[in-house]
Amino acid sequence: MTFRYPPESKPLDGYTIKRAIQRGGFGEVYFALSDAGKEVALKLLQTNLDIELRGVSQCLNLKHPNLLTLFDVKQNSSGEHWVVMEYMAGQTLDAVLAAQPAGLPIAQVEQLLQGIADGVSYLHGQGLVHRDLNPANIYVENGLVKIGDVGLSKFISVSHRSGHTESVGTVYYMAPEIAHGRYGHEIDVYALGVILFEMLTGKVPFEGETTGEILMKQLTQPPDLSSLQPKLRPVLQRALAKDPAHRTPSAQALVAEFRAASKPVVPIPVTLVASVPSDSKPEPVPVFVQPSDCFLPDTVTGTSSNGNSFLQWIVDRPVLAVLGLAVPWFYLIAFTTRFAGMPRALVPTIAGACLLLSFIIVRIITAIVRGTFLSPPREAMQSVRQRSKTDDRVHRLNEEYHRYRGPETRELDLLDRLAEMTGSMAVAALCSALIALALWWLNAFVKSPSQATFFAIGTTLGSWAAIMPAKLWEGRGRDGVARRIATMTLGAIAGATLFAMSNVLKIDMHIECAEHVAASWAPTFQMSRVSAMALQGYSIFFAALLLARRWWYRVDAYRDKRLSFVSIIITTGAAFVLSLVTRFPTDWAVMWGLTMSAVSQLAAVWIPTPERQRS
Amino acid sequence: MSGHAALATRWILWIDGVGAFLMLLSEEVLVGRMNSTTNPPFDDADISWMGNLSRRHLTLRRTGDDYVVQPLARTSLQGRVITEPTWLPSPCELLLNDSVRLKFELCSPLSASARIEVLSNHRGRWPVQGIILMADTCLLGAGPENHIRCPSWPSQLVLVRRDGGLAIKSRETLTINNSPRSGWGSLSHDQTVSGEGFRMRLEELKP
Repeated sequence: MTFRYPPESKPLDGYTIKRAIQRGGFGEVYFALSDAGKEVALKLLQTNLDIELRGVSQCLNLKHPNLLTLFDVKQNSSGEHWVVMEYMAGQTLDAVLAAQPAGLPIAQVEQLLQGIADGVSYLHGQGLVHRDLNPANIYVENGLVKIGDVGLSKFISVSHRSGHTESVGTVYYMAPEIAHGRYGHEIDVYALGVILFEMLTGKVPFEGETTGEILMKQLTQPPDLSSLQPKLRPVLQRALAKDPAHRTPSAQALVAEFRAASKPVVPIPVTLVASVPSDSKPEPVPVFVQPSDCFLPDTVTGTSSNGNSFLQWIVDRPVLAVLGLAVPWFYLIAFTTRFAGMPRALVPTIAGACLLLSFIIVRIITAIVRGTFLSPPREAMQSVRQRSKTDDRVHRLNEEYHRYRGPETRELDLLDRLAEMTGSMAVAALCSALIALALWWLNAFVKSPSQATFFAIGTTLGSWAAIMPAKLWEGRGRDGVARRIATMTLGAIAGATLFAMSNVLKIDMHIECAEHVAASWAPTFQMSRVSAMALQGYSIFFAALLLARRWWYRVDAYRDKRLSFVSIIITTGAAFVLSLVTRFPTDWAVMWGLTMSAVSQLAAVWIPTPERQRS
Repeated sequence: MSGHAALATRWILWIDGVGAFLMLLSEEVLVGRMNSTTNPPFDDADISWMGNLSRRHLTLRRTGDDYVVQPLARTSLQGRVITEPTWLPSPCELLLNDSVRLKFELCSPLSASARIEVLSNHRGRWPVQGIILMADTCLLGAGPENHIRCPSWPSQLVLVRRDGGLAIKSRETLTINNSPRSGWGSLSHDQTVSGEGFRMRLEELKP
């Protein structure tokens, strides 16, 4: 790359060129020092001179921290026109992107996008359109972003990161409507969308060998957004809309949408007023926000606990509170009645009833403290939905979000629900039997047909306990405490049933622990000393395992993937820990934890994301 | 072509399309605060910045292929305050009085020359993108092994101390102050070197 003026030349009175910086679409740019030592960038205008001079003089007195300042326009004795500009010591965004070809970190993208959008918004507010926003004329120095070439952009320039003068440059950032001669502020938003895409992925959305090919793609082809994180796709889809009427309305709206989407969000639209050009009407900008940002009542954040810290403690820690209430009750019942005359199978049922009652009491306390019986986020969401119902654009955005992502939960009628539940249970039983059969055939772990049968029954009952409440509750909100208690109760029942089966199948699990557990935890229990595992041992282990994990997440039809190995490993680990705590035989505990997790996931219906949108 | 000049210890290399680099050739350099009280400006330090520093903040000494930092005021190396002469690993970060952040790096295993970049937002005496502590050679080219990265350059240039002066070598034919050269070319102050797709100027900084 050679430049017209060598170092130390003085083509403009009062300035000494020290080195060339770059060649842009309108001429060469040099780093120069004034006679007093002021560092400036000197731009030699070489093409489209009259139009450029008009543009520059119009922008000469614009002031904004995100715009490169123009100091003056001068003509030398040879008749050359020079623009004297602020010098930025940092890199162009082009160079930043070239150094990180896989894209920039989200936090950096957000910072840069905000700076560019602020500068663009200021220009739009002045009634100006930049027309040639691209990474080569965006400068970054110590995190500060400045847009250059303001007022120099009546024609689309040809500049490129590689420095090849013949290659296409800013057509990558050209909005489709430019082909029809439309130069509204939407073309800057489109260019900003392309820059955002490039910052995120390291590539421009439309590439091609020739200018014509790229322009044709800009005009006709939808952008391929598959390389973006799913939650960011709707944001870029709107910013890169072919029709300017459907495009993100302003640069600030694009920033707001990007911010919202780059955080973990739920799709709740609210209306914010973006900072828009002062001479235009403020425009409501729909964005997705987190409920935790805006909607939770003060009580949830603990700011209005009205001095009753004990009740607030219960609200904040519902699981602990439920257990804290249930355990003393259970002991009280055990102590006073000693389960006189009761069938042993009733003990887990009594424990479940204690938990249920405690849960209801905790919920009532929560409702009193929060001043409502509905859970606050749900109520807040409803009120927000009502508030924003009149805003069609908000709804459109929300629908768009759902269209791409699919609904969070699905609605099922009772018959479908029961059919799905029983179907999954049948598959679970089949899977459990096959696994047990395979283990017996391999002579691994289970050594006899009766042990294999017992193992299969344990896996089946455990996975049923996970599947049944999850399927009955699916799509009806996510009350973790209630679900856990229901699942745990079913786990206790499954354990008790398994105990009965162990007697039938004459399974001897060499347990010395049940007495120990009962002796230390429940002194009033009369332990049955058969050589087999005691009823309490089974019930406690299965109840604890079903309580320990959020099984409904992994059997939900809309879970992220059919089978999560991480979940299986965690469940197996939990089973191991519980076996140590409850003194349940570790080998059986670990195997049941593993197979229950695998079987329940395999058996439960799973709908892939694309089909969710259709269903 | 002029003969070899006595080897000056401070140069600025102005490179078109790349940037400017301060070249320091002495074994030991002093780092400190820019002095604003004299006119014309005169710094005690070879490398100076505006900032909350001592005028004599630390020295960097090259010993063979290694560098040793001698703190004269509060200095941290890789987050730990140092008070004694300390060997500099590569790359490493120096923090001067919790304000000026420097990155020190030996770019090539074939050269004992080192590059210093300023990571914090501080203005130095010279508008440069980096500082080269030049031992015997300084490499300029597109790859990461070069002391001065010139991304669009087709070939590599080597600056070398030679016969008590500086010389430049390239596989391509070079033009030094408008006279073509191939192979080695001796350099003196304020010369412009150009070749296929590049141009640069070596400016001597007078003490």
